[in-house]
Amino acid sequence: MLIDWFTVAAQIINFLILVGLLKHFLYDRIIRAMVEREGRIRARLEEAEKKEKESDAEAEKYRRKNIEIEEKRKGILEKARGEAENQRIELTQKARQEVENLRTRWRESVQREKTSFLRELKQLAGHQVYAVTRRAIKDLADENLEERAVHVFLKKLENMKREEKNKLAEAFKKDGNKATVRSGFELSKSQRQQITRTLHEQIENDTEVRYEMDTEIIFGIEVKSGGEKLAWSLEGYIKALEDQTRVALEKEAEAEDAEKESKEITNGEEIREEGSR
Amino acid sequence: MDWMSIKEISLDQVIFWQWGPISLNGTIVFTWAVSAFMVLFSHLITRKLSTDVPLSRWQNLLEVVVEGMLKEIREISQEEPGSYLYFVGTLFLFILVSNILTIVPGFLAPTASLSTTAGLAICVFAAVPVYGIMSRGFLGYLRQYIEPTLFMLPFNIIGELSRTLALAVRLFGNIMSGTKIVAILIAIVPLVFPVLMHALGLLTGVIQAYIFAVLAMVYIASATRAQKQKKGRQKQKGEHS
Repeated sequence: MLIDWFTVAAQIINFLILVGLLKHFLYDRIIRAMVEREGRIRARLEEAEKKEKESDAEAEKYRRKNIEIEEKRKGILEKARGEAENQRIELTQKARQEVENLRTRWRESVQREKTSFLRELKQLAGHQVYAVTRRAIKDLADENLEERAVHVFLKKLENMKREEKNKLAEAFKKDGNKATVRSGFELSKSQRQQITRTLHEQIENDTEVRYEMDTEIIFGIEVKSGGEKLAWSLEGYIKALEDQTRVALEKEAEAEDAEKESKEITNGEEIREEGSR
Repeated sequence: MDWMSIKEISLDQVIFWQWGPISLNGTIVFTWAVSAFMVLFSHLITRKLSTDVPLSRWQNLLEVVVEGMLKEIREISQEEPGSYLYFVGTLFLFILVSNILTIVPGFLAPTASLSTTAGLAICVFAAVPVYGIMSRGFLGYLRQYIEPTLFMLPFNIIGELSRTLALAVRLFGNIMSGTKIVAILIAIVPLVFPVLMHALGLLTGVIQAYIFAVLAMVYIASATRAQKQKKGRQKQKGEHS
């Protein structure tokens, strides 16, 4: 008999026990481990996906930021360019202003030089005219020029209108009955007496008269008191000479200025061209 | 022709210890040995399992085996393996390990004994109604014997019995003959040739383990699935009308 029924029963029991043992030691443990690993891997994948999304978002953020920075940079550049342009214009204007100032200063200094030259010329011309005139009058009329001047001055005093005389008299009084006579040359004693007497007669009796010599006057006599003044001098003649000289000089200066200005305009244009470059 | 006694055909006749009707024969002892080996091997590997990567080689081996069985069961039964794995998987592993261990000198496969194969076939014979009733209920399971007509009842019963017998005899015949052929060949040609036959025996053993397990699964699946197919058909009818 190939089949031993006791063995069959024993094998059935053995098999069932083996099923139970393997369920406990093999299948359940292995399946649990696999499920757990699967879960972990899925979690990890999900996390990776999440991180990828996050990193994508981050990348997008940085890309946007970069664009923003680029725009900002462009804005700043544009602004700087505008500022530089403004600065250039301002500087050009300043330079032009400076040139203008320099020119004004130069003109002023030329004016000053002209004025001082004219003053010197006036004095020199006055002296020369005085010297020439005195000699000429002396030679021709054999008469002292200074005496003629005193004579003319006195004549002028006498020929004054009444109101003028009164005005002068009041000025004398205001100054405490004092008057000053200034002349461009030394007056002799008799001349002084003559002038004093005439003043007493014509203007005010008790006036105290002081005499001064002033080379500025060059040739002439004047009486001064309390702001009023009566004068006769070579000044008027010299004035005419001065005027004529000045006119001549100014004409010359204007011609020079016109020439200079035309030169400056061309220079200014050159400066502007360089700036725009 | 006395050179091959019944003792040499069946391991049951190799008796180690006897007490009345209870005998501790070679079949039982080698079954215990195989079982102990499997349990010990599983325990050694599964006592410290890694639930993350990397995992040990042995764990990987066991996972591949278990995963492969799950996949196979899923394909045959068209449903989640659940408790089928414990039964069918153990059948497969027990037969496989028993058959492979025949290369160990002095080891005799318990599957070469008709008692073992009969025991396993009886287990399958019992498991089919158990799983069938679990899934379809008692009456539902019994009804399949009188389908399509009551006339089919005896044929169904005969089919049930004959396939169990076939299951037992197929495995027994293959393994036993493999062992015996090697024994015979050693007597005729002592060198090299028996090794080739042994290798062939290993291949046969593996294939037989697979066939046994797959057939068991098919029988169980047919008992549980018939009901579902019927339900599906009724559903389709309802939809058509």
